[in-house]
Order: sequence, then C-alpha cells, then structure tokens
Amino acid sequence: MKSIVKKTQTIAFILFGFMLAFAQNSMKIPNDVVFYMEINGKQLNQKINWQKLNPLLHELSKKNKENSSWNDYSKTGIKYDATQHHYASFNDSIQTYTTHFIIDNKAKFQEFINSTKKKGLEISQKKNYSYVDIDDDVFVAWNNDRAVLSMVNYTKPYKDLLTEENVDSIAVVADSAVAAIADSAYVAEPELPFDYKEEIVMLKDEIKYLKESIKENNKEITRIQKDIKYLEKHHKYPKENVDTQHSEGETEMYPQEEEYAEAEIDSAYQKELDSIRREDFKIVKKIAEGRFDQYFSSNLEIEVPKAMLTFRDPNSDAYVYTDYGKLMNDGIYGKMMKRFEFGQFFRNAYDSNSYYNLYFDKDKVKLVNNYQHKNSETQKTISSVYKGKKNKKLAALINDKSVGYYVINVNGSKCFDMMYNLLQDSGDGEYKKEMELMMETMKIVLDEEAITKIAPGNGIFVLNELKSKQVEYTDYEYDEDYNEKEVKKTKDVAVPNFTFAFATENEGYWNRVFNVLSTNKHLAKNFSKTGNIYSFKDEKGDGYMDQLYFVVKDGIVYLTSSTDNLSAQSQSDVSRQWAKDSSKYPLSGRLDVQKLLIGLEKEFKTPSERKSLDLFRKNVGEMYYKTEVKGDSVETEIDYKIKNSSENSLMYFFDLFDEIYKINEAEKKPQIL
Amino acid sequence: MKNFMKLLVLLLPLLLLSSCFDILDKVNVKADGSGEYTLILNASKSKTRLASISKMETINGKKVPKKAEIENKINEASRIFKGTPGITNVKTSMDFDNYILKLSCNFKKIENINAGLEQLKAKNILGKMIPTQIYSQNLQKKTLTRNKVNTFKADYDKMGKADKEVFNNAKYTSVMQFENTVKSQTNNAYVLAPNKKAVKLEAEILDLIFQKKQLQNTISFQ
Repeated sequence: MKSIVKKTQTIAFILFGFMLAFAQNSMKIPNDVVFYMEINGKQLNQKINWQKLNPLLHELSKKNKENSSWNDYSKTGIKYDATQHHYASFNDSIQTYTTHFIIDNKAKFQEFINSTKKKGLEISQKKNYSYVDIDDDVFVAWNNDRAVLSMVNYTKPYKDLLTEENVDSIAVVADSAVAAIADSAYVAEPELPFDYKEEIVMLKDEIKYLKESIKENNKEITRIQKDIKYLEKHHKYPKENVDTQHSEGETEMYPQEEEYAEAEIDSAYQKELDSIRREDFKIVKKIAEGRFDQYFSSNLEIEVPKAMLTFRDPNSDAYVYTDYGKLMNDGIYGKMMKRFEFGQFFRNAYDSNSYYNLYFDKDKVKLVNNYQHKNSETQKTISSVYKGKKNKKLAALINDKSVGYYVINVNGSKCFDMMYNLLQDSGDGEYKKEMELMMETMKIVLDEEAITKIAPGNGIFVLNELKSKQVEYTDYEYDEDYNEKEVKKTKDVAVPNFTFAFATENEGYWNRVFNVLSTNKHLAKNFSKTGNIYSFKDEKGDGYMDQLYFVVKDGIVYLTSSTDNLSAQSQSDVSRQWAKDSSKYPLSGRLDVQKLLIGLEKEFKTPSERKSLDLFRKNVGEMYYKTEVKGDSVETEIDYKIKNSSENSLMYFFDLFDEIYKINEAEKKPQIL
Repeated sequence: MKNFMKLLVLLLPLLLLSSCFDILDKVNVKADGSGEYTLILNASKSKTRLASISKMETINGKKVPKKAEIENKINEASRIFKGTPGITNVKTSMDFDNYILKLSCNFKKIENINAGLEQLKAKNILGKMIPTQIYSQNLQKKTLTRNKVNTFKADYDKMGKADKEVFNNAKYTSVMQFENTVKSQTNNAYVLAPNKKAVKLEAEILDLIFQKKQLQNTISFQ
C-alpha cells in the first residue's frame, strides 16, 4: 500500500514538474512602453448605442473605402464586453502600437477582416494563428478566441544631423589631423553607411521642386515666343485675343521630347520609391510577425507590470498610463535638450509618470489624472507646493454674474524648494560644482521669505459676464464714379468684465508700486489715484480694456475692469457652491460656456457663424477642474457636464459628431451642384 | 491682388484671429497710358482685436510684428518703388490707430507697376510664388488687361486652420478708373460706372482663392 502511495506521489511530482516545465508564460507587456491603455469593455459596451453608432461608422467607412460592405459594427466577432489592452513604444527607428482583444465569433471576425483588408490579399496561416496586413503598416493576427492588431512604423535610423553637420564643416576646412579627431569623436555614435537609395530619393525630390519652377517659367517663355513670332510675321499684335496670357484652351508649346523625358524620370522615380516602400514593408512585416509569434506562443494572458497599474480604478471606463519622462526625454525634444548644457534641469522636471482614469457618466465625462514624479523626494517637494492656505476673501469675488473662475491656493514658499530640488539633481557630471554654486548664490540673493510675503500663493481670476462695447471703425464707400471715400461706422464688440486678485502679506509694497506708477512723470498720464483706487486708462480706448482699476485692501491686491466688482455681490446657491469649491482645492476652475455664449452672441454674424452658435448653444456644457494632493501623487480631475438629450456622455460625443458631420455634408452639397 | 499678398505676408501674424480686413486695389489710367496706383489695406473693423494682439509677442506660434518693423518694411518697399523707372511720387501712410496702410504712386505706363513688383520680388520683399505681371496695356489697340494670375489655393490649403480663418469675411475691391470711355470688357463681374469711365469688382478673398470669381479682364476703349 505504502509503495503504491509513494509511486502515486512520485508520478504526481513528475507530472507537476512537467507541467511547470512546459507551462507557457503569460504575455508580458514590456516595461519600457511609453503608453498603456486598458478599455473596460464590460462597462463601456453597455454605454454604446450601436443603433446610433452603426450608421455613423458606416458613413465614415464609405469615405475611406469605395465598397464598404459592413453594416453592423456591433457584430464583428470582437467580444466588446471584454477588456482590451493597448500599448505603444518607440525608439529611433520603430514606433509600434499594439492592441490585444478577445474574439467570440472567429468566422464573423474573419468575415469582418476580409471586408477591411485590401482586395486580393491572402491571409497567411502560421502554426498557431492566422494573420493579414490590412494596410501597409497595420497587421491583424488571430486564433480561435484572441486577436492582436499591430501598427508598426519604421523610419531609417535617426541620423544625428547636427553632429553630422559639424563634422562636415570641420572636414571642409580642416587638415587630416583635425578630421581624425572628428572621426574619433564620432565613434560613440557609429556613422551610418552612405545610403545611395536615400540620396536618390532626396535628389528626386529636388528635381520635382525644380520642375515646378521650370513649368512656370516655360509658360511665360512660350507666351513671349509666340508674341515674337507673331510680331516678326505681322509687325503688330493680333487683333483678336490680345490677351495672350489667357492660356486656357491654348495648346501648350512644350517641346515634345521634353515631355517624354519628364515622363521617363517620373516613372523611374516612382519605381525607386516603390522599391524603398517594399523594403520598408518587409522590415515592418518582420517586426509584426515577431510580435505575433511571441504572443500566440504564450498562454495568451496579458501580464501588465504592476507599476503601470498603480492608479487604476476598476470602475473607470478606460485607464491610461503614460511615461511622460520617456516620451519627452527619449523623443526629439529630449535629444534637443541634450545639446544644452543645463538641459538636464528640464529632463529632471519631465521625469514623471501620468495615470488617467476616464469615466463616461450619465451627465458628465470625468477624467482623473494622477501625476507622479519618478524621484520620490522631488514628488514630495512638488506635493508640498500644492498644500497652500485657504482664502475666503478671494472666494467672495465669485457671484451670480460669474461666467467662470480660476483659483490657485498654493504654498508660494515651497516653490523655491521645488526649484532647488530640480536644480540639485541637474548637476550630475561636469556641471555639479557650478550648479551648487549657482544654487547657493540664488539662496543668498533671493529672500524667499520676503518674496513669499508679497504673494504667498493665493490668487483668483473671475470672469464676470461679457459686456458689449461700441467701437468706431473706418470703412470705404464709393461714389458713382468709384472714387473712394472714408466713412466712420460703429460696431459692437464683446469685452470681458473681470477681476484678478491675489493675497499679500505686504500691502505696503504694493501700495508703493502703484504709488510710483501714478506719480512717475512718464506714466502718470495713464495712471491716476482716486481715494484708495488706482486706475489705468488707455488713451485711445480702442482695445478690450479701456480702464483698469488697482486696489490694495485687507490683505488682497485687486485688479479689475470695473470697480463694481469690488463691492459684495449677491451669491445664489450655485455661485455659493462655486465659491466654496474655489477655496477648497489648491487649483480649481470652472467655466459655464452657456453663459459665455450669451456674451459672445454679437461676435457671430454670418449665417454659418449663427449656425455654429446654435449648435454650441444646444450642446455645450460646463467645465470644471480641480487639482489636489492625493497620497504620493498630484491628482487633477476634469469634468465636462453634457447638455443635450443623449443617453450618456459617451453617446453625447457621437451625437455631437453626427450633428457636425451632417451640417458639413449639407454645406458641401450646393457646391457639388 | 499681388500687392495685397505682399502686405499680407508681412502682416499675417498681426491679422491672425482677426476675421475682417479689406483690400482696395485701385488704378487711375489717363489717355496717354500714365496714371496713379493706390493700394489700401484696411483692418479697421478688427482694430479692437488687433490693438490687443499688437501688445503680444507671439500669436499662434508666429511673431507679432512691432510697429517699427512694419514701418521699416513699408518704407523699404516704398524706396524700391521709387527706384523703379517710370514710377514717381511714391507715398505711403500708416495709420496704426485704425490699422489702415496705404501705398500710392504715379506711373508713366501701367507695366511700370509690374516692374516695381518684380523689383520687390528680387529684393525678397515679395514671396517667390507671387506673380508680378499683373497689368498690360496696348495704347495702339486701346485695351487694358488685368492678367490672369495663378490661384493661391495650393498655398491656402497648406495653411493651418487658424491662419485660414484670417481670410474669412475678408474682402477685396478692385477699382479701375480711366480717362477714356469704356467700350467693352471681357469680365462682367466688374461693374461699369454710369459714366462708363470706371469699373469695380468687389469679392470675398476666399472667392478669389477658390476661383469662384475671376480677376482677369480685358477692357477696350472707344
């Protein structure tokens, strides 16, 4: 009995061992992707109204393909209520975007692929999957229940043009010794061999450009030649058709052989271009195939690095991770920055990740962004900036008339710490000592405390309605002999009524600033003081701001377009709520676009502009924005409240798009007729 | 039209986001073929917006030209015109309160204007794409021709959306006044004055770009 148990145990262990040895690994999303997106299909699919979406998609696909046979996009074989994974990565020569999704009807999916791929393209069968290229750089692969879409873009490896230029210019003037130095300096980035094909493409482009101007000049030469011939023969210009420049209907006098030569060059050029395209396609195809092989030989489960999912909310409709640092620093911008001696400062500043959760709620679209610097110390100093004091006096400026506001309640003194922190880490390498000295000098020169007292970090901008202002302008009218005459006319323009205010702990400083402005002999003609109000008057009065008022009162510096804004205004429940929100967060803002449109109405004059205005009125909602520190990240929420009868905020955008599309189509029609 | 393009290239950044400007392009031709040429760029309707934009450094990624820069360019164009044979009495006026720029000159024969424009092109004040052979006159045959010019559609298509908006509602007026009486013309879009000594064409600049209206016209005199 014992031996049987032992044997069974041994067999079980062996089998388990085999299972471990042959178990396929899950498909890991590479750690270096700059973008990762997860679509919550289960939720999103419930929000899509396919009945509305189908005709729209059908209409759009008709534009791209002559014979679009697909009518119901809800039935493509793709399992829409499953999670989709998207990710993108790039380097100097290859940019890829990959999507993984589940299919629940292979036959339907193949039918769908057949309708989208180019006619005559064969589907390639591999060991454990099938694939086809639906475009030059888009490939789709699938097995029974999984599919992958891969977009691959290939460009010849990046050449460091600036370095190359330097070496070239040196080579022209320098002797062999200098050239040798230049060569050795070039070793770090190996020089690409001379690519005659690329050179040919460049030269062909130049020919194309030169041909354009030849054509222009040839036309003119032909016309003059024609005139000369006629004058030689008849000693005068022809009676009819004096206007020899009206070349419409004339036979062009290009020498025949030239035309043939041109055609020959064109076809040779086209052939060359085609062969380059073919080569690029081979590379792209190989890359895509490699990816498909890798995926279909795995256990088909997607494994996402944990770091990318830090802020994922399972309730969001879509989740996005971006490596902002890599996007900026490894891209063209980063390469540019490398050339600057202090570029590292900016590289440090950008070195962060951003995470987004997107929600299509019934009445609003909500986007929540979490920003996190990769250096935890830097993140701490950034977070500390966003921990400012509240200021209710500023919030009181929001009233019933307000169209929108933008508020900051940050800790001004911490801004210096943040700047020092970024500078401190910028000095690696050759500039470390210089950087330290610069920081020390800055600390001596800048009295952070005194500066912070001038503006501690609380400010508000409130837009109170748009007022109408009549302005005079000059126009020209013509008498019956068409002599022009200048006439003065008037028109209404919308001007903003606003208040900008910020807190100060040093009122004396600001009073002295305004006092200097109002007493300085050059500025006093525009600046004046009445009571405790300083005012600036634009002499011409032709801009949007005729007069601006400055007041320093109760620890606040006000700058406003109207003194009415300084006295207490009525606050309804809505504006009271706005005011409450404004003092709650380090950064927040709101814009009621409907209210804004009322003020802008006069700016929409022509029938098509009025049509746009009606569309805005019917659809445009309200924007809300707030930023605060959440845990070890800075969280920003942007809400857009929808305004129309759409079933939810996702369909709102489709409905809006559909409406704009129909208007555009309607406008196009008369032109065709 | 070409002169206006020249000014427009200079002033494009300033005109950005302003949706209204008018061009008046006028020639007054005497019986002997001499005459006066006037070009007016009037952006007065947008002066509120321009007054604000002119205080900015850049707009839509383009540098906003300073008053002195515009003056320098116009003065340079004026100097070049003055040096062109057959062109005299070159006058410029720049009203920066109302955003109206004027350029006028006298010519011995209308082709002198073409030569002046050619000079501007040679000195890189005018862009390569701008044709310069605009007018031609044949005193013997008693005709004056406003030549066909290439469309700017290709250049317009290349522009960004914000740049294109500059042309929305922008108007162009061409006036040609004569000492002689007009007998006939080939383009009826030009309205003949009751005294039959002037023709006028008013068009939206977009209509000219898209060739919905044509500028070319051959006028015969009695």
